[in-house]
Amino acid sequence: MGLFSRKRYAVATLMVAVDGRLKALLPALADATERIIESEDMDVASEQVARIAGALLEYESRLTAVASWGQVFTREEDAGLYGDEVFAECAGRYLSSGLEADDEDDSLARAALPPPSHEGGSDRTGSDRPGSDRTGSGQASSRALASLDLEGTHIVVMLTVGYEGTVPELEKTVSTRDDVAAALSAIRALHHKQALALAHIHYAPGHSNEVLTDDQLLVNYPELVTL
Amino acid sequence: MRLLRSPSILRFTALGVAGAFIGVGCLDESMLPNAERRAIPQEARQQAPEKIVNSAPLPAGQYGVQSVNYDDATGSYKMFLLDTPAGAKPMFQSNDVRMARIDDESLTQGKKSYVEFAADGAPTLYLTPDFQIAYTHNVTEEQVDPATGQREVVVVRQETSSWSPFMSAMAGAAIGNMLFAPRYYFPPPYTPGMMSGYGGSGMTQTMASQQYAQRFGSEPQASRISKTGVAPRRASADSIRSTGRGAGASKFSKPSGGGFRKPTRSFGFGRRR
Repeated sequence: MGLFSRKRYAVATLMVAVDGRLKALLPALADATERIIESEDMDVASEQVARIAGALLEYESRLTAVASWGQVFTREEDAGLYGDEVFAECAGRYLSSGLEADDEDDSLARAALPPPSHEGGSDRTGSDRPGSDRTGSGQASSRALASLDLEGTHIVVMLTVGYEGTVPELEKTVSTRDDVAAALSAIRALHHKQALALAHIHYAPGHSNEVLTDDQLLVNYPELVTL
Repeated sequence: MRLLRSPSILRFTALGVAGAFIGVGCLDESMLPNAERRAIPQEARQQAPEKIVNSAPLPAGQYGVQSVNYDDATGSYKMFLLDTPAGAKPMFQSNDVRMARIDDESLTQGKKSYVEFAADGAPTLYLTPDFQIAYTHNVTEEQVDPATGQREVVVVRQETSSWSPFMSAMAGAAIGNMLFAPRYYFPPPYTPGMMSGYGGSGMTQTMASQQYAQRFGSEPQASRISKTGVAPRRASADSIRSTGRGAGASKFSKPSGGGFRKPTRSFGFGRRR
């Protein structure tokens, strides 16, 4: 009986590097992370991970490198423990802001929205959070951001998912653009089947007014393979 | 359902635990092993970790330990605790921590790693033999601060590894009940990959440091740096790590008390460092 009904739990991490000039991505990542923290809900985490996977699929042409790894377990508790360890390991690759509450962190993120390419200003459409006050702080950070050169910088996103069963697209060596697209689609499929038992997002840099340099990419994300 | 997030205020933190997991699946030629970290050019050097402020001790008693990180520039242990009382943070940090191995009888009863705070607030870690401490290795240099002209210790590279102090008794070290009585320990000289055993032990930090010096010819890095002090860390563009954020949730069940994950019929896929 035991042999044929053997359950299989997998935890897989997909890590992608994105061209740092893709300004729309960091606010979306901040929003997704914020929603997970606020809701403390697995369904929300599943939805946000799928949402980010979808965004990465949309910006597929801006992906520059990829890596993936994971493990398979026969015991759910081992998958759970490994999931915690993977979270800590991913978080160890960047400097957390180390703040007690969310508020300070997020108001900074909201204030530091990237400016339009031709001018800094307080009138902006699109990726804003409703109700956020951007007049004063928006102007100041726009000036700072206008001088921020995103050329040669990167954004790294790490998505970790856990599920029962087998998903070949997530359990193979991912090294081509097709592989990445298939893996991201597989993550979205897992969410739509409500099959995600674990969903983590990590991203760097942490704010729109900060950058991740070539050196930092090489040192902290050495597994990345150029696409 | 467990919620995880960084920064490290809740119980799961920004600790590197590299070295414990090895992917053995399909090895692509394009993914070469990358154990060596690149050295950071002078311009991008990171300042050494800030002066360690030890956390306030918790009320006397025992608390399960989820994970521990040791930093060899400061000799400080950062531990994540389970079942902390309401209002107390689950993260505790101190450079004044004694350790002991949980005795065999308690092990057979299934005792997991824990920290015990004495009435005077002194913390002692009681670890299972297979407990792995996440080890942050700081490669340091003495440099002159261009602004002040003073010599200071600066971290130029960091690596993460793991250290199991009680995994195997070092030759000649385990005499009688020595391993079970709480002592101060210094890890062995750093090597990438898993380290086991210890480099020096003693009833005081000084004695432990001296024993290490007798064995290896010089005091451990943490002792030397604590005498000269370290330059403050700035999380700026000079840092080896950028900033970042993370959050997640999981509904996998977890064994109570944490502890070492037994490798089951698991295999890795892809390639990891």
